[in-house]
Amino acid sequence: MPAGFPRGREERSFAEKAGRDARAPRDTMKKPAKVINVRERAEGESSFAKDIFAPLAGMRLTMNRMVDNLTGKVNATIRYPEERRAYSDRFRGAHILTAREDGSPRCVACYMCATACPADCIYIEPAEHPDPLIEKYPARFDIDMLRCVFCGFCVDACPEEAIIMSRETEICAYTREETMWDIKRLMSRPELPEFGLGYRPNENLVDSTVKFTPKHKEKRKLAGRVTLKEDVEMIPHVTFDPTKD
Amino acid sequence: MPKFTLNGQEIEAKAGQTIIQAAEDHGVEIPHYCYHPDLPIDGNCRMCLVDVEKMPKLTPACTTLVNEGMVVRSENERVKQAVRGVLEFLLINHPVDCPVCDQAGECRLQDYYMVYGLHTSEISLGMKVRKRKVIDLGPMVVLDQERCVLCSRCIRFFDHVTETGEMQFFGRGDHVAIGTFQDRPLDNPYSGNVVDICPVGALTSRDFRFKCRVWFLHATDSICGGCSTGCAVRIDHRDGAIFRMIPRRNPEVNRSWLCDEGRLSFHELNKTERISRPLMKGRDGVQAPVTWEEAVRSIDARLKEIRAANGAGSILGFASPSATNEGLFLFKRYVGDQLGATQFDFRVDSEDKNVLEEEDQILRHFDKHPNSIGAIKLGLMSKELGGIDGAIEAARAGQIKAGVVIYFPPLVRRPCDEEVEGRVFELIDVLEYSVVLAAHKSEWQTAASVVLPVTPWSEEEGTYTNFEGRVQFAGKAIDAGGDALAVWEAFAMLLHASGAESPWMSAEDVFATLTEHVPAYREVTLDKTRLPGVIVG
Amino acid sequence: MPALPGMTKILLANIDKPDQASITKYRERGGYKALEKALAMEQTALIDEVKASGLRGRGGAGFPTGMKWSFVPRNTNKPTYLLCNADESEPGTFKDRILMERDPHILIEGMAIACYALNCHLSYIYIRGEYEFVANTQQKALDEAYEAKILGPSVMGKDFALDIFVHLGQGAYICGEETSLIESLEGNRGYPRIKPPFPATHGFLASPTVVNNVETLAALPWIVQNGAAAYAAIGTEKSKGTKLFSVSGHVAKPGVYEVDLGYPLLDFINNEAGGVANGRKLKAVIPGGSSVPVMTAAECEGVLLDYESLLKAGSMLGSGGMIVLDETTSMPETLSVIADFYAHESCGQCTPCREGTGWAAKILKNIIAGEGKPSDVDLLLKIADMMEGKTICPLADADVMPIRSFVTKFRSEFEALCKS
Repeated sequence: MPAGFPRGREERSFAEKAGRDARAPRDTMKKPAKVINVRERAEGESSFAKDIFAPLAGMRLTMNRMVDNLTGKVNATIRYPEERRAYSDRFRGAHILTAREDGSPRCVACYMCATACPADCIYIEPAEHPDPLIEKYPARFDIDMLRCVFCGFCVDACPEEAIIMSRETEICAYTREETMWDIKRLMSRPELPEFGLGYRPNENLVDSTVKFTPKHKEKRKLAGRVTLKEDVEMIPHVTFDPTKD
Repeated sequence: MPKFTLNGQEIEAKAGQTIIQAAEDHGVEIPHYCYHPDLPIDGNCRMCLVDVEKMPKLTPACTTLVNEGMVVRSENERVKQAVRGVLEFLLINHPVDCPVCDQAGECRLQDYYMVYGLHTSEISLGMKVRKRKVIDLGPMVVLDQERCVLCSRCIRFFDHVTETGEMQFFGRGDHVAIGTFQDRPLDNPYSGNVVDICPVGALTSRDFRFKCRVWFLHATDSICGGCSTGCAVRIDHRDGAIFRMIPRRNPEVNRSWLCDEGRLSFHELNKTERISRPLMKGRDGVQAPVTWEEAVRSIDARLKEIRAANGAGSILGFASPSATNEGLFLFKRYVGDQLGATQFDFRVDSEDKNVLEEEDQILRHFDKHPNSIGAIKLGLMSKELGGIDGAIEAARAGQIKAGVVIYFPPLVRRPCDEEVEGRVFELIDVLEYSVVLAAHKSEWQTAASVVLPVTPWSEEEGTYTNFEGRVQFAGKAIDAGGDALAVWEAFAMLLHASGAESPWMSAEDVFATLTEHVPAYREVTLDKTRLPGVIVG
Repeated sequence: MPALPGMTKILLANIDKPDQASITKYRERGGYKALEKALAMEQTALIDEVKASGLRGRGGAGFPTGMKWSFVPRNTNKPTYLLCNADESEPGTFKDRILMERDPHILIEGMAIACYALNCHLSYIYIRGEYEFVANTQQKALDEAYEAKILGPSVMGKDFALDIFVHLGQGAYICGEETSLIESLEGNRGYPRIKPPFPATHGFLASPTVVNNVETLAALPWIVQNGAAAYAAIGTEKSKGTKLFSVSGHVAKPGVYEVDLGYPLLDFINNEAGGVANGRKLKAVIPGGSSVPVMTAAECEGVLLDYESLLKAGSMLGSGGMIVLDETTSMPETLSVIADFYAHESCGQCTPCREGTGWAAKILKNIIAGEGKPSDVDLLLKIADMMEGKTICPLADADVMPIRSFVTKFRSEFEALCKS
């Protein structure tokens, strides 16, 4: 099981199981192999009592779930947009272009993202940067958000952690022009602090900043398909001024 | 012709060849930086080390002559380890510039790392040697000293090819840096070549800087249209725009070099607006756009009228020495064979009279048209007219009434060009009826009766015959815009409108017909015109 | 001082006498007689004599001198050049300067003999730039020789012209390598050349050239005067004659000594050189300049000072620059100083040396500053392997020898510094 993947109560790792048995893993592996006749074993293990009570044990799980649903402890549906689901730390939402300390984009217009993009939706125009240690910066950086498939290849390809993704999904617009995002919009926009940062695989390798202060979000363990009430967020009113933040 | 064994395979080398040259001839790549087939051997990069039996140490393949019976291994573990060691050494002080470096995608360090390296760097960034970056070395070249692998190719180029000695190493040990004295700009007409030969991004082209990543570019083999030398080039283009030209190696014409003027010559194509539709003067004397069919029908009819009234000698065929052989061949066929004209010329300025004169000892010629000899061999040079001046006189005297003029301004500009175009204007002005085939708009074209848009160099495929009579094939790189057709297509249409046979579907077809009808080109096939080209009689 | 057993005085016969730099004093004790004798011999006979003596190059390579001379083609219309390599820059070596400072005429006589044998009429002494004062002394001696008609259009009245000039280097160890010396003399950057072709056929100005060390040339007068057999009688079977050793480090009597080849190493250190100073214990000896592998005190047992014995013991005779290290020496610090030298002196022409020497020096700096990683010790050995045998000239190998020998033989000291 990959780390972080939600586990149910029954799923324990091999090591945990072995530890619970209070025996070294090596010993558990030394069980002799034997050939089992499964029909005989089933006949031996079953009894009339078991036939009656085993289904009831299964139904207990179902009953508990039904009770939870009725009492509102667990809810498959939520009242969007007042309540929103919590997305994981690696969620691939709308892109963010990160900034250096002085506020200029970290991007050096290397075209890795444009090359990797399977939807061919990134358009970059490079320009000469006066600092010879930086040399190149994007005069234009446009992403066609309607072509974008949010695969995250651009983030994977970027050698500078210049492009990351956020947890923002609400990017609809009234006109087509608004869906072409330019570098200003990619670096900071009003909605960003609420949604928070998403897919940024190189976070520990590069020291980059985003041009806003995201609200602190604790890491959450998700309950999979089921949404526990405490995982549902209420979105309060937000005012965010890009020039001040 | 010594025979030797390379990686278990027996190979015959030419006399006096080194191992690396013999291997190259037989398709075995031995990694190298400092070796270049057109520069003297230096042997300092130590990448081409190979294992020669009976030699205790690994020896560089570029300095070792092939001896009869040598047994050479270039792919065993010992060699691979050595190559990887040298590569690791080259990379320890190399800056992590790939995202901003123009050489990415065609960089020898990247390529060899993917094949021989794939190791993790064991040096910390703080320990790397720092040198100067983004140094301006003139209009063609930008220098980055940190990226240099000190192969000395640029030094050898300036010492032995241009003999100007402008670059040299400064310092000692791992602080050696390449550069010019006091950062003086490179001041010779071939400075752009060091950008091609630099295996890494230390010397990059200022013209091409940051314009496009190289993996987005498509390459077309062509011939430079800048002068009559006819250097083999490769045009790199994307989406209908040319980004750069780099030389292809033709040992018989330009070796691996290209002059700076030729290198930048493609920019000329975009400097002025293009003619997009055929324009014809109506009864009111104003040019209006028409379709090709209308235009060719009208042209043919009018020229035949003039011929009937004044004789075939009153029609002038003035070709361009920048048009392809195919275009000129059909031009001659229409104007000459079909209409019967006898007056042909193509010389627009006095420098064309020096068609064979060299501008310098390395590559360039004074004649800035790629196909003057081609025009001569097709019979387009008239002794009586003696150039455009003669044609203008004859027109003023009333001997010439009509003319079909192909005009392409040279891609390499000279101070006399304005004057030259003035003479073309004069000619058009004087003629009663003129058909001008051109690509770029010009004020004097308003004087023409019909203007037909045709494609210039790089927008049509065709052959050019250079100063020594070598015919070479140039591919088509980008598409023409608007209604422009190739020169040969225009005349094919005119021939068709005139009622003659016009079966050609491609420039190849035209060339095949050309070889049948022009004695100098007999025996030549299109294949023979690929690198290195073939000299025709 | 009379010669001690095993300490025949051939080269240093007169350096303790006053005014030896003057030509009159030199002639008084028999100087330039050997040259007279040589000029009366056939040139080829002279080369054979030198071959028979078993004299080997004293600059560090130990190549038989007579054989080197015989590689020069005799029937060429190009002039032959003899270049004296006085670029003594090997760390620990200061033997040539003593000859040039105190007894310059012995070198002039030796060069004249060699030039006659090789039919060379123009010769240069390439002196390292830092030895300007030495060059002045040598030039004064040359002026005296010209005045005495020993040099010039007619050497000692014979029909043989010879000009010798002093040329100052500019402070590069690499110019001690013979092709690099030739390049520097020609006015180019001191970059070694690819061999083949060898200097014997294509050297200075693309003509046949022989490059010999000062000590080698200074031995010639004695050989000519006393005969090859007398020279061959000194030393061992393969290492004939005497060698100058410049001893430095933790010894009581540092200085330049002339030793018969084959003399036991430890005897030399403990007796002639006065033993380890301040009563300390011997830890390590670098017998022939920093380019040779270091020997631990234990390895020095029974080793003789000649080419073969030292090679068998895992080191080399080299230039004879002996450095003695006592028990207080920090081997990582010593190696760091040595590695810095090679990094500074690498010419930068070929990749492995240029990058490898610099990298090794930086790693060692980190180690002695306490910022080394445990993996750095193996990294040093890896760098040594990557540099060895892949370069144009042996400077990289000269860096590899100390790195490898220090790290392997004193590994614990390095590891101790890399604990964190």
